[in-house]
Amino acid sequence: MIRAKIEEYRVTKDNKVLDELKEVAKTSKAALALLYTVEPETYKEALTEAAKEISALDRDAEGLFTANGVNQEELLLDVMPLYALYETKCNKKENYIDLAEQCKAAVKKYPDSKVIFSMLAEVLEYFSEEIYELYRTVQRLLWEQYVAVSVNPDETVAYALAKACFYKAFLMEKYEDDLAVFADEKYPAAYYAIKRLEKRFERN
Amino acid sequence: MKKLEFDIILKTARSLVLELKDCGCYSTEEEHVVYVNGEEAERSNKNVVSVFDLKPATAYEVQVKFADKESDVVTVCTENEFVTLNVKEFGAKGDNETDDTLFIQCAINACPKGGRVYIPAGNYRITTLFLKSNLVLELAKGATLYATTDRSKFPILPGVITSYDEQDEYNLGTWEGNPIDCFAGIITGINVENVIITGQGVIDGCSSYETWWADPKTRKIAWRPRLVFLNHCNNVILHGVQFQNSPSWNLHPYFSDNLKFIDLKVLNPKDSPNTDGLDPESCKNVEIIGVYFSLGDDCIAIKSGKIYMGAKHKKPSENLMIRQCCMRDGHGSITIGSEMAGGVKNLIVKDCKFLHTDRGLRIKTRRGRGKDAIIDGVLFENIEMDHVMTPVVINAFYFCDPDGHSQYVQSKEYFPVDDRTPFLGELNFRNIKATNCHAAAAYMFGLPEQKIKKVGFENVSFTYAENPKAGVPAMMDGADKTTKSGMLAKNLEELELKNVTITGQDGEEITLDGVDKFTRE
Repeated sequence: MIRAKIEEYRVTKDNKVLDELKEVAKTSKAALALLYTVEPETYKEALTEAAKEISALDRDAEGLFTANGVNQEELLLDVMPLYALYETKCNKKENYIDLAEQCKAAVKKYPDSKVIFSMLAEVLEYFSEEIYELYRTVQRLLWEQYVAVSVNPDETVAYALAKACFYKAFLMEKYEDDLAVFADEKYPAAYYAIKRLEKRFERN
Repeated sequence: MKKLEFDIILKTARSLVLELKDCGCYSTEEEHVVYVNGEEAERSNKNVVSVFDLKPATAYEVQVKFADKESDVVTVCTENEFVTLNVKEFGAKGDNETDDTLFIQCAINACPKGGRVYIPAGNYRITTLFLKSNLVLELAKGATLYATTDRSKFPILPGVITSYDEQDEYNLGTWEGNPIDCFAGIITGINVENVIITGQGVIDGCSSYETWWADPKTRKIAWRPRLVFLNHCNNVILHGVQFQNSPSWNLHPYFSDNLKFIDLKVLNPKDSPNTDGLDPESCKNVEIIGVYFSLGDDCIAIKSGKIYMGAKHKKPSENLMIRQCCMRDGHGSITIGSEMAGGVKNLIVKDCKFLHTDRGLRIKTRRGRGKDAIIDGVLFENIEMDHVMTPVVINAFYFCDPDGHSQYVQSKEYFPVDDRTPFLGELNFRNIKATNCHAAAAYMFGLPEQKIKKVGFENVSFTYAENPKAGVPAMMDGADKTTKSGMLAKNLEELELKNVTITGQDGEEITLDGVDKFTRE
């Protein structure tokens, strides 16, 4: 639901939605990441604290973040996008190579995971194209993961696919039919991600 | 009377360019006079001089005279011309108010093969203009194109457009070696050939610290435009025109071949951000002759992309001749890199003056540029440098990009040679006089795991300024400010010195570390 709210805010810029996200920011890294992009000065300290916690996480044999008793796929979905945001905005991209390597390792370890597909799309959201070769690495990994997850798409896949199209990892016109199935408010995260995609070519 | 010789290095339907031979670097102390059909046509100190306002398909008798020497009279015939399209007949006003873009663009698009688009004296407000193949575009004396600084009026060139089968891509935009969105240039050529931009006019980007130069490291909609951007063009000549106040790099030929830049002026304020003069990027067969640069970044920076573009296309910048140019006030007179992941090969720089630049020859590279980042076959010959902070800098630890200060890039310890390791081949310096150096004579720092192959100096002298300014000789971690340092050579396979003098340095004349073979005659 948090992701649906985040995408809804991105499309509508509704302050009521923003306020709802502020309520959950302390417990939701996804909400915190979005809030930082909206109010960077207010949330910089919280972002930095969260990044410290993330960098203190254990690593497994593949170099992936891990935590006892926590599903690793869900953990990666939770922390990797915020790690990407912090590196991009606050840490001069110093650990971009680690970010990219973890994305590669996650795809290798969980080759048909829809959660990892979502994680990659959210990492791409915050990843700067200035380190272009790594940016393309994340895009390519999205491709690889999509081959497996597209066999049985659901709202999670559609949500991530819409983001991947938004950031041109995928050619939007080829996936319009796949996305159209989920362009329905009963799939709120996908619905708003698709709406945002449809506004893609408006200038800021 | 002593004999003077010259070459005609460019002929158009309306102009000639002469290059005087054996007259030193860029200019002479005394003036010479160019006579056309016995009448004085031009007076100049420059060794490369243009004569304008000629007629098509006409023979002229040309002679050059100094006080004490003169050339033979040479008969030269100008090229043919079909028609002239005067932009004022297409509706352009040149009144410094009207947006004349569409009228000039119409003339350009309508120009037939063998024709000329002529912009007479006047002040023309434009947004962006696009070149087409088989075009001569001439700016008359007193013609200035003033570009808007309203970015909402600039088209965007997308960095990458994916093919329908998602297996390929089409690259239009670029910024600092990566294929990312940028605004179209003020003058843009995409896939055009056989183009001449000529004349005595001015193209002004109108940039300022309130417009394009504000917050320069931030992308705002797209990255800043160049004054002239040539993307995948062939056989293009820029001649005579003055370029100034560019939003970012002034002249940027990109994946373009067979290019000539002749008798131009490229001017930007000394502290304007990223206003490189001329940056050939993955270009082949380039001549830069008689160009004057004074600006805020590198005068000429030879590039071939960052690692994605270098690895994908493997297109070096190669076969470049830079001659009779004057570089002043910029960071590097001639720079190679830092984006050189496709390599730079076969570069000759001769008969040039470098004045008050931070560095003379500047090579910037680093771990991570990739195994195709090969620099080889570089020759500097007959160069005068004055008040250049450090004449020769070869820096394999350049701290660019977000990971520029990371351990991987900056460690002076041995790292394994792999796909990310650049290669520095052979560089030669001959007949060079560097006076009033400030920071150091030469600072050459290669990678321990892949040393610079060979550097040779022959007939080279370095002397220092009486009141030298302290400066950092190379932009790398651990390079401290210094004054009057000698020659430092670290991690070279071979260093050869023949008739090299360094006079007036503080400390050691030559410091060697990790140099496998050193010879000095």
